[in-house]
Amino acid sequence: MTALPATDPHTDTPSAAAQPKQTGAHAVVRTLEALGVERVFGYPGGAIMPVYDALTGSSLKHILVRHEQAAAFAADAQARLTGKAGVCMATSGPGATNLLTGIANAYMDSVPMVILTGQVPSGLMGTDAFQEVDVFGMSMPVVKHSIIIRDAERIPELIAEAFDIAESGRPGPVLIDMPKDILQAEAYPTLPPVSRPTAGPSRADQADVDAATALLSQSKRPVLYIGGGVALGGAVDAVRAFMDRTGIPAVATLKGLGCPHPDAPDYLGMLGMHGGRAANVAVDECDLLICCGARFDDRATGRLDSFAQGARIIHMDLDSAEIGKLRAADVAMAGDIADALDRMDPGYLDITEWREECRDRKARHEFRYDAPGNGVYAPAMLKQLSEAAGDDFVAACDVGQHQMWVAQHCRFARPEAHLTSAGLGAMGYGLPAGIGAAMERPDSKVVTITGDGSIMMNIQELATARRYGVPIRILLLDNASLGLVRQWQEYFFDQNFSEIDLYDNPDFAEVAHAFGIEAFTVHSREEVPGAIERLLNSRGPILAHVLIDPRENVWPLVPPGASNADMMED
Amino acid sequence: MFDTLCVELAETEGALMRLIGLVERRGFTIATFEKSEARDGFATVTMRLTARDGVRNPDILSRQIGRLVDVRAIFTPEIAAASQAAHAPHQWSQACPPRI
Repeated sequence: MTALPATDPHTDTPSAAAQPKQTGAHAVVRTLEALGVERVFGYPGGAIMPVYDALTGSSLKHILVRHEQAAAFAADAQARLTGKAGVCMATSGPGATNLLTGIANAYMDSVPMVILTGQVPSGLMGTDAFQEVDVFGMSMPVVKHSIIIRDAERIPELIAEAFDIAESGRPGPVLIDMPKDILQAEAYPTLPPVSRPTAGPSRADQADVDAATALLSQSKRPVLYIGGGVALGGAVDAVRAFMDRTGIPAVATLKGLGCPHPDAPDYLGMLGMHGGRAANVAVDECDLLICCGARFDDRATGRLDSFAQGARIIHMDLDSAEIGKLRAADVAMAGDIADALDRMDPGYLDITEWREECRDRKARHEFRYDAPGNGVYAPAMLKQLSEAAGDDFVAACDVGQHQMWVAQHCRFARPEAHLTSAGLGAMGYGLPAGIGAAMERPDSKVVTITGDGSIMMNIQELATARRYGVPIRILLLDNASLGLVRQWQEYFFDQNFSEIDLYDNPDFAEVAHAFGIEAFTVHSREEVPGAIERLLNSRGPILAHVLIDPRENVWPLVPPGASNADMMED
Repeated sequence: MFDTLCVELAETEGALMRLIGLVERRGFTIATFEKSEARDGFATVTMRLTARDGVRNPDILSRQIGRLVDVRAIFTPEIAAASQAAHAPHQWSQACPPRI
């Protein structure tokens, strides 16, 4: 490693010779600054204290959350909005283990993240020291890569490498474990270049593009099956252009929502367990399924051997390991999805009859919002909310019935407007994700949509929202139960309602008040328009506590193990 | 049914654990395992594997292994033998899926 020059070219600060003592911890902070990081979510503790000491005077803005899991979720949401790695940090032992759910969440949804953990001193590692856990080992199944820093002089190089790995190719979380003695060691390393080189994605072979085009030309009933890889690969505009050019009906996964334009006439909505009839039947009846950045996840396919069983498969993905993993592909196209779609030109497609059939089915199975009674009908409220918020709407969902209602009834003009824990399904994501999103996009209408079960998993983050004056709106749909579990028990466990009753919830508006946050309760349908207006017109933080009928279910529903064509409807 | 995979692996902390863990998690049993001494920072690991359910595809597994940052190349014993005979070990990397 080259020694620092008299003046560091990246920071214009005096080098080692002119500086007071610098440590590994200073190198961590200065490297993050040099890499353009502006915000770090974290929580201090013993082993990482040198980094917190070095934060003094730094341009980094540290956001003190109230639980490490929230730091990871907030960094995750920021990353989903920006495409740049979110950064979180915590101390060793319990601090590190509390991060794990958030790391797994980022891994399952391919979110770029850099996680910094303090570790006990090198000499104590492997001795069961106080607050020692092997987070390097524990996190291996849920990280893209991980590093233990053993030499303070290599800190800038390794942190820069972590960002490069996290953001390049198929993104993912990278963990950096930092023993305390390394953080305290005297170090004057060279900082990394300010702009990091990133390799472009590979291109699909022309022979595969030609084969796919030939299959498409022969197809009478093609369907585009769009997943989260489209947004991750920067292929949203290419997908939309391809849909316009070919008129092929399209369906989206939970993570694919917002990739097709929501008003596109041939967009049929979400497929899968809680997908619409138009989407699921189209896939069931298609003769060619063009999979773009999706991975045949069980929640999307239902019973796999009956999923699009009469169809040939074209599978495009940046990650070649996803192709053929669960369903063999007739044409496999590993590489840049946008590039591959742009190169596919099938000419005139004789699919008019198929398009009309799909459009007609879509029109016949539109969601209805005329639920009887005067109680708040959550799907209608969510639809009104997203329409009122318009293209500035960013939803940070929690997990449960409300998450599926958001996916079904809200309108997303872009995929990054829909922040949801898709792969992991982690309750507790919504509030910290909303905080991360609202800090990153303070001028957007960021709304955390949560339930009474989910918000209790990270309700302490109301304090974070209050401390930093985060412009977040929280819509809490309270059915006094774990609704999605209750729904499954109702239909698949002989109505044996086991441990789902949350009758003794606190008054959430009062809880919010106790945190110093504006809050109000909505009891009836007639209050909904005013509540939405109040929520959206507030700068936030603000919480609307909405009481809904515990018996309300999410429809349609594909029973577990069933084919998507065998969906249950209300 | 056993398949043999050879993996050219960086001699870095955690690399071996990462490789073995991935193979186990993805549904394969390691019947035999041999690691060479590292040369120029890389070692060769040879594993004889079988899918626990008898169905999973070792080709998919090899692509999942190829995603590991520590892995430089994956190849079959036949390729390894041919490359060694030709004194051209760099050709092994042709069998490695593109890094993503």
